[in-house]
Amino acid sequence: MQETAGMRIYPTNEAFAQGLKSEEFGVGVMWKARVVQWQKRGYFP
Amino acid sequence: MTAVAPAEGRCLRSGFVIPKNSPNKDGAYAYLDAMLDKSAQEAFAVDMGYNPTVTTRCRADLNQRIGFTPTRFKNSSISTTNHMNKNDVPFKGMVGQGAEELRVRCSPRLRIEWTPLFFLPSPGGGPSRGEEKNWRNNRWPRRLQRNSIQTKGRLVALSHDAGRAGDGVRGRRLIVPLAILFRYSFNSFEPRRMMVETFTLGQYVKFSPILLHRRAWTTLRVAALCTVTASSWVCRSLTCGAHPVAVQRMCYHAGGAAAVRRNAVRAAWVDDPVRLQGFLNVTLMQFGVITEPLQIMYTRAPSLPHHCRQSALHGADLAERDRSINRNVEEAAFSLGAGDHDVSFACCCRCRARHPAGTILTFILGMNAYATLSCSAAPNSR
Repeated sequence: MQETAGMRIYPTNEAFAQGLKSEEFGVGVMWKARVVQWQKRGYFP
Repeated sequence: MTAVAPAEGRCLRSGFVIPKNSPNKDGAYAYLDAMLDKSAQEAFAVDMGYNPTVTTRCRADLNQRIGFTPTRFKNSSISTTNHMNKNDVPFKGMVGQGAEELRVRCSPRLRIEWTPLFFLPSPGGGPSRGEEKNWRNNRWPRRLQRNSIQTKGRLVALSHDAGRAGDGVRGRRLIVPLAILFRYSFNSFEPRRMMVETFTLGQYVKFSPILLHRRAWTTLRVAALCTVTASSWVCRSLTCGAHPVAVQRMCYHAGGAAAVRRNAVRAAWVDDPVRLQGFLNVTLMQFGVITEPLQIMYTRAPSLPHHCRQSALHGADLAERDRSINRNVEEAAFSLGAGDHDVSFACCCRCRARHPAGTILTFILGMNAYATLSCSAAPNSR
């Protein structure tokens, strides 16, 4: 984790995915469908 | 990775419309019918991962992943068009209020931290001028409105990164170096040995005629002007998208290549043409344009190249700050509606306020450059 405090805003869905993948953050607000798409592509288990 | 839905329920709103003046309404209805077909909706769910229409049920295993439990489904508010038409305004207010609360609760760091220094007109590409004028009674705003989307965009960039960007020298860290410099002024300076550590008021006594002369006041004014023009100009150049290194180079060359050379060389490069027997006067007298040499040297005109030189020095500092700002934050600001120039310019201003090393350096060098020139020119310089 680079930072522990505060909220982060990601400019794009892709940046959000990268942040999640690199564990910059653990919980975020996002389209549920987007999560399914990422899982289908094998980004996340 | 799992997804959760808020227990309080949620509002779903997604759909297509046919414009009232659509040239081919039948075609549009046919398209909608095809889109709402069971097979199309299932394929939509399989391919995209979005839930199908209410009456369509996708496969059980897929429903497990993208669907909602019966309770959550019951809590969902499936709004109708009529309902939305009636409640559009309060709904938008609710969304805005919710977002605001989220913002405040989640991140106390996101607060107004705008430092109004200089607000120059955007050279196009930023928020349109008309838009800005509307915010405040058709006048160009001196301060930014709190509720504008641009301001929110700026806020993100400002609050997140600019204030604590990189490893720059912050204001409070400058106290010790400045104190050391002040201490140096009590040392004695000898031609061969340069600075000799001691405690004497010799320097102040020696230079008191100059300090008390009106030239001191002029020096301060010229240095301040140099600083303002340098930082504003560099800021605007950077925010126009010019590469920081290019800005530095440009300033450097504009000020004569003497920016970092010794005073004697600098004087020869920049000041010689305007001396009494300099190139300009000699040429003009040669052609009979003037009979007496122009006393440009004794005016403030020679200080103009200094403005460019200070820009180069200031550019180095600001460019460094500009580079250290997280690109993600900038893009987040853009997505919130901030213009290109806003973000960069806001960051620059912010950096300038938080990291005044460059500003102070520019000011000191401005004084130095002008005073040296002024003193070496003639005692009657203005």
